[in-house]
Amino acid sequence: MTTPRRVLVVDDDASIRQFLQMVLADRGYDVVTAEHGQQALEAIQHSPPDLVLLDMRMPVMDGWAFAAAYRERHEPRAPVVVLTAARDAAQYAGEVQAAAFLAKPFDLKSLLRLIAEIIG
Amino acid sequence: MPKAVSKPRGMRAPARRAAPKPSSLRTVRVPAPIEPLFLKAQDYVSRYFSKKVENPELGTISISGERYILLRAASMSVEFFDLVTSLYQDKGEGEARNVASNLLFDMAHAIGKADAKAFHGKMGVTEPIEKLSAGPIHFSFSGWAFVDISPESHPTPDNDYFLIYDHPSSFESDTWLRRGRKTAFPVCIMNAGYSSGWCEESFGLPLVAVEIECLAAGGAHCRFIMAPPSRIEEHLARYKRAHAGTGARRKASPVSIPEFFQRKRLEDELRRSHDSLESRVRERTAALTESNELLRKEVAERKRAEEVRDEFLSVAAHELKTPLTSLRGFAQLLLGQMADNRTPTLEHLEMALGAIDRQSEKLARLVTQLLDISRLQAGQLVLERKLTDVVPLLRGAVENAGATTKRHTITLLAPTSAEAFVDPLRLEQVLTNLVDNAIKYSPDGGLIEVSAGRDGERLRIDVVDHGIGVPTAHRERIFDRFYQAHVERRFGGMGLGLYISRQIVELHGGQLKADYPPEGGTLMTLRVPLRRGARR
Repeated sequence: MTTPRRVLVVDDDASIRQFLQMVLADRGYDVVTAEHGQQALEAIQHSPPDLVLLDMRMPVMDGWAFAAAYRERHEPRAPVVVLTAARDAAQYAGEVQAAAFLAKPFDLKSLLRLIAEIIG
Repeated sequence: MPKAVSKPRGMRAPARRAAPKPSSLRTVRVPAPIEPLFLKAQDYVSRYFSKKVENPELGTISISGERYILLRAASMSVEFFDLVTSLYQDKGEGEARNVASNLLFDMAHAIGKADAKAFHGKMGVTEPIEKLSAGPIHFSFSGWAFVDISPESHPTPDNDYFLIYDHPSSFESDTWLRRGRKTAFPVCIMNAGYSSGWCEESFGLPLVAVEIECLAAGGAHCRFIMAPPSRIEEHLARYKRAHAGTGARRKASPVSIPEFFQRKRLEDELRRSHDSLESRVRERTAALTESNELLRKEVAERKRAEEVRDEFLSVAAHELKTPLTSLRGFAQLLLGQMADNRTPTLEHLEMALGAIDRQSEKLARLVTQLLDISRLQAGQLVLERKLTDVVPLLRGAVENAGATTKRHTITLLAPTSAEAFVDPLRLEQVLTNLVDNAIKYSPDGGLIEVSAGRDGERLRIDVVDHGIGVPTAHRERIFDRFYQAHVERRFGGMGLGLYISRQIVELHGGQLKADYPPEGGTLMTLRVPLRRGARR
């Protein structure tokens, strides 16, 4: 049995974190959650992820600041998928050099397919 | 030459009278009522002219100490005309005559004004008619002409000024006739200029004199009408109408109003219209500048309003999509498991359904806010007010809010009951908003104190938190629509809560205000009337 792939979920909405935690765990992923960028950077220290699902608008440290800090401090890095309810999802994804983006509310199957494509 | 012209009604030509008696007025003829004045002037001017000293060795002539010069009459009339006409030959006879006439008129008008001024000073007179009196006499003594003023005259110092007079033995018509020259135009130009100049100075108003009949042009006399420039044409027309068909018309010379005055009048009119144009331009420019400024402000305001609305739509969409994400996600999770023929575990089911319930409630709250805002903007938010015990509402709001947080302690200090004249559902909405805000803006937890009590004719409710407060720069705007003081900290929401709350409280005739205790946090104070129609 191979080591489960680890997904870091960064989102300030508790319900969305709970849902992603549940669905990804159900699919056999190892899930780590963070309420904002600052928490995410701390989580990465002891459990480096294979994929980051990143919300953009968050208190304390937003998606842009997290992405910048992550790029600066970590090598190798996991691909980032932007999940945002904002109008300019594609633009945001470009700004943080994300591998992909999904606009909230996203389709669950699309999310799972996308994750599978990126990290298998 | 006919002896008499027919006299029109209300307008008699100057009367031809018998030769003056030696003791009476000899040097001028005037209507009887003003004769005494002219006698006085005659006396003065006679004495003045009696002191005449000619000193050809020095080349001087002086009269009462004033220097005079002698001019040969023909050189200033017929010969002057001939000379100017030959000089301006190439411009045509009409133009040449205009040049000569205007020169003579302007010069004589200026001399008349100057002489009048000098004499008024010498005689110490102030009344217009007294000022006029020395003029014709001086005129006679200096050999220009005799003056015969018609009783039809009306010399008042206003726009009704009207003078009709003859110049028997005018130096001008006389010199032309002596040369055997008959003209098609009146020639007593200097006489007209001088007399109008003198009278203008005397009456302090612009006057023009026109020779309507001239001996040199075949008239029965040299007759003049003097009036303000604006009225002269009307007087001429009246005179012409009055003398039509009497034979006078046949021999009446073509009159011309001295161009000097036409020019002056045109200049005045031009200046007036220029001035009024300038002031109109100034007014219009000011009005345009003002409306431009208004327009600029309006455009800026609209642009700002559009930006605010855009920003709001973006925020609102984000806020609505967030609960939708969980709703849809949990629903798809359960559906997916069922599609895989897997029965969701009870734990999953409870978690999913709980989330669906909470998120749909959150969604409903957001939609309610949107509806409230649209009702408020349309002025259609209607209250259903009744006497209500507010304490249970407060208790409910505090308990519900308390259930959502483990980090905060919410206390309520209130009497057992407190009635106010309110819409219970709307007041509950406001209280919930205030307590929710207190929780939201004290993210590190802590004490939240809610209290209620009577404040005069009103019920006062305080909600105090010890949270992050509101930065001074944002304080003025926290009740504004779409405004979020802590936008950078992403507390969520659409920036509508406090706006809606204040609107609802004000619809009640109450007040909602924020204070910021020095030790930090926020104190929200709400006041609503206790009774229907109570004073604010």
